[in-house]
Amino acid sequence: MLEQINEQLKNPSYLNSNSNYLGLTREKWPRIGSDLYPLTADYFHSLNPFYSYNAVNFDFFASFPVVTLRDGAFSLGTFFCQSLSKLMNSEQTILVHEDCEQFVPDQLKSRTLSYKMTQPRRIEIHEAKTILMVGVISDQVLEDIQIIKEKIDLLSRMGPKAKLKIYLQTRKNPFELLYAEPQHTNSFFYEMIKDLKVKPDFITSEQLAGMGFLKETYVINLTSDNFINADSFTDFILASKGATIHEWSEPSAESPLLTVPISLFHRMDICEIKKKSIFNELVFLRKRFPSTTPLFDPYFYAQVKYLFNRS
Amino acid sequence: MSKIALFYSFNPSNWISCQKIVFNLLKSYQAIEGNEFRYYHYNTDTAHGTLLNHIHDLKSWNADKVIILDHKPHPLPILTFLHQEYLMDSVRPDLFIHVYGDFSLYYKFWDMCSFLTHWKVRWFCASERQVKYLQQMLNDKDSVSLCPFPIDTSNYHFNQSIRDQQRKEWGVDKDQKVLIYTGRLSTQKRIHTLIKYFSQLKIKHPEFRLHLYGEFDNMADPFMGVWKPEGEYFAEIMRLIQTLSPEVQKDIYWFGGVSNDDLPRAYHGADLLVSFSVHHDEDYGMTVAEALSCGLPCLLTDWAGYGSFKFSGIEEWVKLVKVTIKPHGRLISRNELNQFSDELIPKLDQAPREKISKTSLGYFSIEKSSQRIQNELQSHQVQFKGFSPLLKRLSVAHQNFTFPFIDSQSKKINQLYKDTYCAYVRTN
Repeated sequence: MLEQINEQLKNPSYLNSNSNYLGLTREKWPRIGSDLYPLTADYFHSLNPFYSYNAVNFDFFASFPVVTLRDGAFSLGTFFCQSLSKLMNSEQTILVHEDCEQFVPDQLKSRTLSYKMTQPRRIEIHEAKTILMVGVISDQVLEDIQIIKEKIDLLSRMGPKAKLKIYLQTRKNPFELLYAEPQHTNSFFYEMIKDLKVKPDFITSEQLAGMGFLKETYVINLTSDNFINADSFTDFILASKGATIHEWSEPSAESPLLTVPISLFHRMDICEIKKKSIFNELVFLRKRFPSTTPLFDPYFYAQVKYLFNRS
Repeated sequence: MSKIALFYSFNPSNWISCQKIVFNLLKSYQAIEGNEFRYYHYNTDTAHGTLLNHIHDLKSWNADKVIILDHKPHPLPILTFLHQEYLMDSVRPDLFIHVYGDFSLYYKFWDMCSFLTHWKVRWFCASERQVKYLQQMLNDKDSVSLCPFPIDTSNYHFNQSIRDQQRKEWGVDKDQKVLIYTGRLSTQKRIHTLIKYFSQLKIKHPEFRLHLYGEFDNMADPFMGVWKPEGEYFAEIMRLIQTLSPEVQKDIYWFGGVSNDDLPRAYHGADLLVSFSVHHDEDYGMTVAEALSCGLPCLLTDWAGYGSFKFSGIEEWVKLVKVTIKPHGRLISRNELNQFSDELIPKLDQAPREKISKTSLGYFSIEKSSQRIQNELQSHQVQFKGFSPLLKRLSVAHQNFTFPFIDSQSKKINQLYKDTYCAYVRTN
């Protein structure tokens, strides 16, 4: 696996390079990524960051020797359920986010590694001149209100002169067909904002994209966990400009198998999978809810969420 | 006494250089005595109702000059509303429009401004080559004036003690030399060319370090049909770095983006500014202006706005390397690069930094800018004669083709590109 990764780093073949993207027009791709813009916007590093639900042409996808899956646990687990036999016949090395590695089937562990993003240089929240809270208002993304409350409580540690900026745009629930618009998140979130002691600036997508020189900025990601999306574009772009991402960490004392620089300020640490696989339980759920479109089945979604939270 | 209405965004631009430009231009106008000013906020968040109120206000105030100071959003709504408001009036304010590099992104909108022929319009360009570029787009070449973007001398002027202090902070001793680049780390800025140049330089001059200030972006080269996602150019540069020897790698320093307050110190501490930009919108070169203001010699491409910086009296300290438009892109002359580098590098210790600074500031200080603007405001303005057929061709091409400057068969630069950008290269 490491040899394959090193070979990819030296002689890259790029899945999402501009001229080589799946061989399909974007109109044919699932809308999930666009529903969560900008969290799921494309970015690039040498190990092919990609979403499994965009692999509409599996043969094309499997022709790339190394792929880093940015998926959260739900779409990652579903992908393994749907494509296990094909994946077993390919020789691809797959990287999955550390928080989702329990969904990797045992049969694929020999070709799968886990990754996490780390930052050698980080600041503490009380040192930051700007605190930036980033998220999208979608019931499925901001589902766990307790996690949001815990993140807002972090603001009690911000410096007295620090500014608070909030990026929060309304988005559809990505894994839902019938009631795709958020139903309840708006109201309870605004209730929570009322209690903020610091007056925030609400910023637009354009303002977020235009932010620069972020070495004294601390970013708090309001997406509740890595169930919907594990590797966010907003984290990438803000970290590339020097911001400290709350959910990330410094490189751990235990050396990773490999480190890949993603920007001047952050890197991807690649390790072996440590968590026990719960893929078999996921397979059981799939058999119980054999929906033809598992990505949009609310019962299946809820059951997988339960499994993820329990693991 | 004139009544001058200025339209700009009260919020700083996302484009870092434009933050300073608009602010300094504003100071230039305010330094002109004997005029009254009114300021109108205009940005993407300005509702049409608010804009209409601005127009009504300036009309009731009897403004006799309207200045479009900012680079975005495109002023089409301002100009349209103005035209509607003054439609039945025979006397209208004179229009003064500051042109930025992103003029090339809005051909369609400028094409929609044919009604400007009912107005007296003066266009301000930041560099001599941008003047030539814009003159191609207009039927009346005389309506374009040179107005370089000003530099605030309180922040940018040479000071030996700042240089000594910055070099001490960097840990650079007197025998070592620092090449500096500031700006976006972007394909068209040719960072890969810069790094290759540095690795060659290290062979003959091992005492050099390279300091890079700026953030990577994904602008790539869209006019040449090159698109890249965020992160790809960083990955390319890192792969290039890996091919260099350890001795070269260890002397490349990445500082990331820094605030405007930190840049003057960086220019002071360095020995040579290097930029091989062939960016299409390089209308001026704010970093070059700032570096020269701090007395820093420069090795640059002779492309677009950079061509304006070879001032009389400091020619030997500002070297401009020829750029040619070839079928596959813009080519930087390797012969001239080597020649000018060999001329400049050995004598950097003797650079008259005080003289470089004073000469440059004599050209683009706020005071000088203010004088230029005042002369133009006081001059008689003539009726705008409309946009040229070239602008129409550009507008149509940009609306109908994904890559308007590339021939679809040969995948090479087409005639439209050459007609547009011939103004940006040296003719001899």
